[in-house]
Amino acid sequence: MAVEVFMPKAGMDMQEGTIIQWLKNVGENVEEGEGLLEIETDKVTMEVEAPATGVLLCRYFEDGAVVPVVTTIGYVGEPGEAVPDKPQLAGIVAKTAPSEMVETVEKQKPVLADETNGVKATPYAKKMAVANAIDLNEVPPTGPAGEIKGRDVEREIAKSPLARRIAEDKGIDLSAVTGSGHQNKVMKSDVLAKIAEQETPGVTAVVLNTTPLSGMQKVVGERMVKAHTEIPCVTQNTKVDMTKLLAFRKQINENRENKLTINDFIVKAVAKVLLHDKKVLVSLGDKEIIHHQDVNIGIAVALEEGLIVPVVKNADKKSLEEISETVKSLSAKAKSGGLMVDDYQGSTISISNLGMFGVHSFTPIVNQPNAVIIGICAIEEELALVDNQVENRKKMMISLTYDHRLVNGDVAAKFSLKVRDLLENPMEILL
Amino acid sequence: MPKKEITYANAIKEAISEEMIRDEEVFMMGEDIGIYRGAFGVSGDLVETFGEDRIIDTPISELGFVGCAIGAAVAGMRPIVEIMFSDFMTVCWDMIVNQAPKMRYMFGGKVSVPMVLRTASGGGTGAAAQHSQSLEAMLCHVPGLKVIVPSTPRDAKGLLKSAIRDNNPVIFLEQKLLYRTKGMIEEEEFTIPIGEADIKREGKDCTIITYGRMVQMCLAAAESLEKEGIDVEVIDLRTLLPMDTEAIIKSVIKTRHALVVHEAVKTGGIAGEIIARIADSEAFYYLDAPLKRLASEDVPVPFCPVLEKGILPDEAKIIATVKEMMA
Amino acid sequence: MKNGFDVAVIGGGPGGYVAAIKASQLGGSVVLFEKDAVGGTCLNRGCIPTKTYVKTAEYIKHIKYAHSRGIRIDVSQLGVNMVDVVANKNEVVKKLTTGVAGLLDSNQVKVIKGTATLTNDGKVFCDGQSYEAKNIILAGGSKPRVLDIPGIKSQGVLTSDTLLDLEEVPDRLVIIGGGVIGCEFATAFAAFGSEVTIVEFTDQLVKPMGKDIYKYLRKAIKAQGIKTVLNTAVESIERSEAGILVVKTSDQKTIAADKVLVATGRRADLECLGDRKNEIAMDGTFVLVDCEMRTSIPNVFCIGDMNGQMQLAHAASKMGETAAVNAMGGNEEVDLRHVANCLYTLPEAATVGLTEEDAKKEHDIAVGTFSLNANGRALASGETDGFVKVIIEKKYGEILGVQIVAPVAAEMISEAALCMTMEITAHEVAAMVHPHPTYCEAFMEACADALGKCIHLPRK
Repeated sequence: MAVEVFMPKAGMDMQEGTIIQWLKNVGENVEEGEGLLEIETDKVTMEVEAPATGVLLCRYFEDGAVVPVVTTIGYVGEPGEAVPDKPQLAGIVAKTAPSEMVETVEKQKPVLADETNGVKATPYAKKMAVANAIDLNEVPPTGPAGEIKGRDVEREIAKSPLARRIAEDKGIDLSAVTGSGHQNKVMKSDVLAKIAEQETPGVTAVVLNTTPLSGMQKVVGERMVKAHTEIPCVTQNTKVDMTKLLAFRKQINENRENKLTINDFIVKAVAKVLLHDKKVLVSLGDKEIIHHQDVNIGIAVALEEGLIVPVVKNADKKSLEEISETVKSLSAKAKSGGLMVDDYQGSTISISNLGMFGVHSFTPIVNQPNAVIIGICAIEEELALVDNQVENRKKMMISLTYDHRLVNGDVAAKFSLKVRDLLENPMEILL
Repeated sequence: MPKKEITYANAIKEAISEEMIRDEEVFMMGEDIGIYRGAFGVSGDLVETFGEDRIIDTPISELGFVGCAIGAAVAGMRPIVEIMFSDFMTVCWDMIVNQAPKMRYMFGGKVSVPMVLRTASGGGTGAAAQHSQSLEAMLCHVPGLKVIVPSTPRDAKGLLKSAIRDNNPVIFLEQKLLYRTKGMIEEEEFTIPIGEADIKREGKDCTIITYGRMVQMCLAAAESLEKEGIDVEVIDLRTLLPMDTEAIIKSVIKTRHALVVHEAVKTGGIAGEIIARIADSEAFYYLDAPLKRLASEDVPVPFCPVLEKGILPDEAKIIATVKEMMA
Repeated sequence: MKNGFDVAVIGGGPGGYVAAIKASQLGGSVVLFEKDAVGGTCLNRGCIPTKTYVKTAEYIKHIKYAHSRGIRIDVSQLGVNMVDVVANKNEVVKKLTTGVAGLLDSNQVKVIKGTATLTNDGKVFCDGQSYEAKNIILAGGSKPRVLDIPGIKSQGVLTSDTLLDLEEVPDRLVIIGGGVIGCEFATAFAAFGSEVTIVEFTDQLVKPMGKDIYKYLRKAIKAQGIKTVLNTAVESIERSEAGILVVKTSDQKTIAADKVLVATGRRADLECLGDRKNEIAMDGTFVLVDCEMRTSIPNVFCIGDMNGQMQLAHAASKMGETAAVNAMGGNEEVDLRHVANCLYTLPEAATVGLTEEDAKKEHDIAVGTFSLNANGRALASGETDGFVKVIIEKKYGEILGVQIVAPVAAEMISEAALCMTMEITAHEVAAMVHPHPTYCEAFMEACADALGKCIHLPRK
């Protein structure tokens, strides 16, 4: 059996030796006790004797190599005997590398015990040690494999008994608490501060109560989101002088039992414009723009549980009076929940009126598949120059929102103007 | 909430029945599920209620009828397929691996495969190597599938209903030994979302992550361990794909110890995946002992009951492993 | 730099001399001004002199009761020679003041005798000389508060300062004020043979120590033949032609006395503020300071009785240390939460932290008490008057307050104060082995009682 040849440890403080020269070549016969190679320590030069009789099987290091003590540097044995192709290592690597073999050894470096970082500890123990500036080399391990466990580090973290009790009770991770006591001892106040930190909620509004989302509101919401996210929309505000219309309406209503509302006039005016100008009566199909024939005006009606848009069908073919009656009956039905499917389907354009709430202007959301929604705002008193005279005029905003995929700005603006002109000359609404 | 006691098998039957009433596109096919009432009696009298058009007995031809179900699903139906033993999934592996989970992706989302494949898995019944396997890890390696392994009647019912309503192919693994176990469920209709783990027991010292039949075993072990002062948290994954990683990480950060227990064999098992997820997360820094897994030995399930018992995880092994971790 | 120092300390009492030594230890050049003798009120006119008197009183008490322990002794001639008592006291004081002077010397603190005051140029003026210092620590201490009532300046009306030099035992001694000073003098002079009456304005003696202490103390005071008049103010003192003092009280009664001790508290001695008296911010009659003992004037600190934070020698020493550290560039705060209060009567009383009444207001508490009647050491000593009461917060067992009446209460209180400072809870105290037999066992037992697991009390 092959016998190792070691770099001898020739003194208590000898760490490594230099091979001056081999006295035998690989394959040469050697006798036990015969000089095999010469080595040099920092103190002496000496001969290493063959440990057995046989042939020199291999030399792991060549002349000039610095080798740690008790490292195997070769083998002596029977010719042809197998020997490891790498030397057995003894802690420190040879410093000079005159032969290829030494290079292989250097690549092995990571295998060696790392003296600075070789503490065996669980990740948690390491984390706590870092957080609390504890040197793991000083921590006695109690793990089953001789490793330092979390509990071992925890023992090293100074903490007052009271702080420990509170932390245990409140489930506070002491590794995350910085101590303010002597040598960073964790005190009650530190744990309380940590608890406060964890309990500090973001600023939240106080919830009065919650009400379930009604089915209708859910649908409205979904449609709003869809319209709002899908449609590149633009709102144009156009100011309308309503002074004449108000006077006109007053005159007409004087002898009527069923009074006509401003909204009726607006619906009629819009219908009248649409009779000749259908450019805004469009919808987006899969691959085409759908041009609508029918002037079906959806009227947004606010309900307790949501919003619904009943439709005044063929508004262009209805008289002002008919429109008034239709709107009245539709909104009554909407409020009593008596609308039929047919009553709120098929709109080609919509109107949303917030005038009664004093709204100055707004951006209504397009009622898909319509391309346009007309927002009607409040009538406000304004001083205006009329024929160089300051007059009190009644002005109203029309907030027209449109789907820019279907309608362009000039088309929308021209439409608004036509509606405005008609409203400003109310007689023509009826003509 | 009024509750009733029900067996695992009947909970599954109830889920199927309710969904078939709710949606006429739902139907079931499989071997001996009609007049024979199912190899494990799950389908029971469903054929009498819904007729042979909706409870369809098939020939012994997994490749054929699973393919058929995929076709029906693509065409808008919601098939439930029963494969008698999960081991036989390998007979129609092409359908399960190459067809069902791939179509949605390969057809650019224009097609979906709302199919549920129910099958009996696991051992402990003396049914030997070809009728006792737990092949969930193989399924979890196939993106496009969802994999569910419920442990209680309640989870089984709630998750099966969600599975039937899901627009993707779902593999629903029912462990044979669970079929006769009982549990409480609501009288009212309920569903349980796919992909949410359930903490079956809260604890602060050690987390056991498990699913299916092993859940009860882990809970029993936790009871014993409590007497020895070890407070174990048991997480029932319920859904393996997609996995509720967050629940695992959160728990392990709390307990600093994690053990995964499953009946499937150890090598290549899902435990490896779970452990990898823990190691690859914030939880790593909180670990105070090596991560452990407890699974069946890497051998075909023996026919001999004594040997079969020997290779399966059991309560004693769980207790011993936890104690070793907490040492 | 001639007359230039890092730190100048005005006042050589337990606050000032500690501050001076600490500053010197931290590497500062220090000058200390003292107008009288180092050691201040504590050593010269307060803590130490009274303790020598009380110890003498304790001897008398023991000798009186010696027969009950089988000692044959004739006590019919028992009495004190006040000249010797005062001499004995002076000897003790001298030893201590000499010790302090030695300490200051070894720490290279320059001690200048004289009254020092602050001047507007930021310097300290003393005895015709001006001294510069980067930081000044004011430790001027306090003087007895003298009531503004008719006859207060009469001959025979004394303060604690002057009573300590009285070389006779007055037949009748009226003490105005039933605080710590009043009670301690009452204890001493009652033993020396005076007929002592304490007139107290409030409804109890040593009010700050709480009701529990008083309930016990009342009996002990009575047993010593000391009369107590509560809820009563003194309206005037008249001196009759025969030289007898007549103390007239608010309830229109009169008490005859040979000597009257005015022990109505102590007020800050602000003399050292000098020219900057109007500049410095005040808190009532005391100098306002923050937790680091800094005053409103930069680089001027104020400690001890002058700042009114806590009029105790040991508190002043702590403040002095902190002020010195901060004067030398530190940023320490004084934490006076766990400073004990001691009363040297027979038996002694001591408290730390909250009383039960106060603790109840803010905490969910449990209370444990242990009577010295059940304490082996107390029984063996024949001194079973006393108890230990512990107030804990229920949930975690945090010790919130401790009250002790015992022959060595002042010694025992430190264990409680230590526990509170180190946040050791009742659980740990109850579990810690205390040597037997000792009075200290009573603290452990009281802690156990608060937790409901006291071994040496009958089951409740």
